[in-house]
Amino acid sequence: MRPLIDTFVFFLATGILFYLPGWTLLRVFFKKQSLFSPLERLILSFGISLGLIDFLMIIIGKLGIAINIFSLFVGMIATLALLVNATFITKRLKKNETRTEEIPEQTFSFSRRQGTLFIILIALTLFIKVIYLTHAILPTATDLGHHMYWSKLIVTTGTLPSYAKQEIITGTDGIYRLTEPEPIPDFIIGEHLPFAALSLFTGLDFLSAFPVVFLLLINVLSLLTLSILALRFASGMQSPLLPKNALTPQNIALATLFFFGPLFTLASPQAKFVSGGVVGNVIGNFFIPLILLVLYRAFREKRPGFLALGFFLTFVLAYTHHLSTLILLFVLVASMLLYLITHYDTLETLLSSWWKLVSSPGPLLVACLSIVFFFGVAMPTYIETNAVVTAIGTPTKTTRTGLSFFQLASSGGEARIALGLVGLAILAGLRRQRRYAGAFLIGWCAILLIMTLRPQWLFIDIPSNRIVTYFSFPIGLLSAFATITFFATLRNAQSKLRVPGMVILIMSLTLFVFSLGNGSLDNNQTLLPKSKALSLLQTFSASRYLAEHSEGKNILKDHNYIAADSWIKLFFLRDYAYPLSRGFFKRYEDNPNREQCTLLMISIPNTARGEKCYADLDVNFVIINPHFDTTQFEKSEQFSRIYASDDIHIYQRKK
Amino acid sequence: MPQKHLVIGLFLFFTATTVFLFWQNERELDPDQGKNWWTFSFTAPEREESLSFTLENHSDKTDFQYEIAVGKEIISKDTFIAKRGEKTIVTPPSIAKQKERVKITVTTGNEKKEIYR
Repeated sequence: MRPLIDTFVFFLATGILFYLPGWTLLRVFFKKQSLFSPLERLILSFGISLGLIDFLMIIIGKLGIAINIFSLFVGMIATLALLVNATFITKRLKKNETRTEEIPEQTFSFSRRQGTLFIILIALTLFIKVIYLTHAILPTATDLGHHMYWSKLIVTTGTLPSYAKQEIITGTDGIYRLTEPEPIPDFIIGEHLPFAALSLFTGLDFLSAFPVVFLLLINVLSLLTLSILALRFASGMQSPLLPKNALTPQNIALATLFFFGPLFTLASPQAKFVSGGVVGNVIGNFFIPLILLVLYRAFREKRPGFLALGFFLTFVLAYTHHLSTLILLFVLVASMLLYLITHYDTLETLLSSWWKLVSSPGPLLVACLSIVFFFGVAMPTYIETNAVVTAIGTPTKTTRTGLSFFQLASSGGEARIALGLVGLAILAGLRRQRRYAGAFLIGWCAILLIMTLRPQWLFIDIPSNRIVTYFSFPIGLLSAFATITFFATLRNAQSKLRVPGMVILIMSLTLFVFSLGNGSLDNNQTLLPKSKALSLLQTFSASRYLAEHSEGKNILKDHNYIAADSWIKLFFLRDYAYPLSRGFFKRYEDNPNREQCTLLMISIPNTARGEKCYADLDVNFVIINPHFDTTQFEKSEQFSRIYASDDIHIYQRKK
Repeated sequence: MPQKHLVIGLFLFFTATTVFLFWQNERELDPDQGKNWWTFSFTAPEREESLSFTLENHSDKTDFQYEIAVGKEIISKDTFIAKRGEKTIVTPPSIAKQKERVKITVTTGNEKKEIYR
């Protein structure tokens, strides 16, 4: 019964928080409802709502009002009322819009067979993801634990978090000390506010399934967005060199869903990122195609309203994930440059039409409001801490100097990469870059290819294995284009090249098995062997014990061998770096300037250096995994073992 | 097929997924659901003279024995019952602070755990 109630409150809160505001905004600002298909309305409502809730919570927090269910509810009603009242403004703005192209709505309706296939693909996708999440639904992931700390802090304190943590330093007198909390640029507010809002509205615990389910929802919506993007792109890329039905939008949308749904559905950046709590990337992977969809329609249909929406969504992304924002900006610049280059003969006319679009009241208003919010209300933490400069420059570390093509293929899936590159060649060969859809798709793929293989060309100093996860999106779209175009051309009755039906069947099966085999292997490699429930329960039980008995004294825990250790801090909510943590061993080796106390206090607690660390930092309790670290504490007369379970021991330092 | 039907299909399948995941998470986080483990700890670690300990039992076993030793000398031993899903507090008599290690060993079947001061 409880799961049913949890599901009900989750959907109710998600509907109120993450659908209703966006849906209202679309109703108010885009009167003509036929502008959006139902699927488009769904994804746009979600994206807009996410932004509105984020900004509303930031404003409430900055006004000094407690962030709770009451203030959030009143704020939402006020925002919605404001939006409805803004109708009269939009009426005037709409008069300025000039449209050049109306796409008939039936272009995007699915046949019965296509619709059934769509639902089957969605069901299959969810089924595979659920198999994976059966063992990964538990709150064990390190990143998710870090993020949920901040979300729980917002819920508990009712204020916006100050992203800072205590550090261990060595004073000039040689004594180790904990600093006052110092700013950290790793977190961005938009990664935590949606979870805080959901927890406030539902009362669901952060240790429940809701954070992962919410990330799964975003992941599924991002698949839907890619599919719709493919649908829109395909409608704008017909070529006289191809048979009429070669780029059937619905088939390409379905092929896209196939390449992102059942295939490659577990590895990064999909279900693995969902269970791993890679919040920023999961949200970023939803926003990037959504923004491209909106901007594509803005430019193609010459609608300033869409451009304003694109500006707003980009602004939301900037408050959610810095890397995704950077990638998006590169993609936009590359696509625009490509389009400009291919229209060098009509550059003046083109720039003039762009200027007309950008200088319309809607986009200008959103741009102005964004600037006011940015400078007057709150800046993203990575701007405040000047973290942007660390991502720009010539890469020096080997992890940032780019991947080999083999690594790229392995990461993106050989089948998808092979087909995607064929798709890229087809579009370039057909000069589809002269269309907005082609320019976006080719620009998107090309810039990510350069960022992944040769980041030094663009002065990008970011881990290459993080950039490559973004590459799967354009390459997957291109795979869908390649596959559908290829078979439609072979089947074309008017084609000079007549291929026997049997050959087409064999080729289809070969391609299908290649894609399926490669995609399923990728899924198979990602599946978790067994549940971590037992270890996790022991960690949480020990955490509750210390929360009751530690009396605010310093605690040290181990990150290497304790399950779900990053979630321990949710039981204390004292500081992001509380309890102190012995990190991965490699980090101490790679960076000799890193503080060594957290390593020494567990690895060699009985040496002079270990004892000095304990004394200087006043650490009283140590949580370790007895299968790896118990001997050094058993031998010592300085420690009492006060808690014992199979996977956790807690030691107390004697005074 | 109208796109609205696709939205409804998506909603239904996602709802089923959500129900399952909430159910699975609850089941996994239930300390007694198909699991077999127990912990024990000092009830008042801040009080050095107290030998009171708490056993949190999530195993099928209910019969436990404890032994208290100062150094190698066993000063007290007894048996107690701890039901599954319950925390059982055992309070042996307190003793004065010792120079040697005071160790409490709890055993059940072949399993043994120790805490000490």
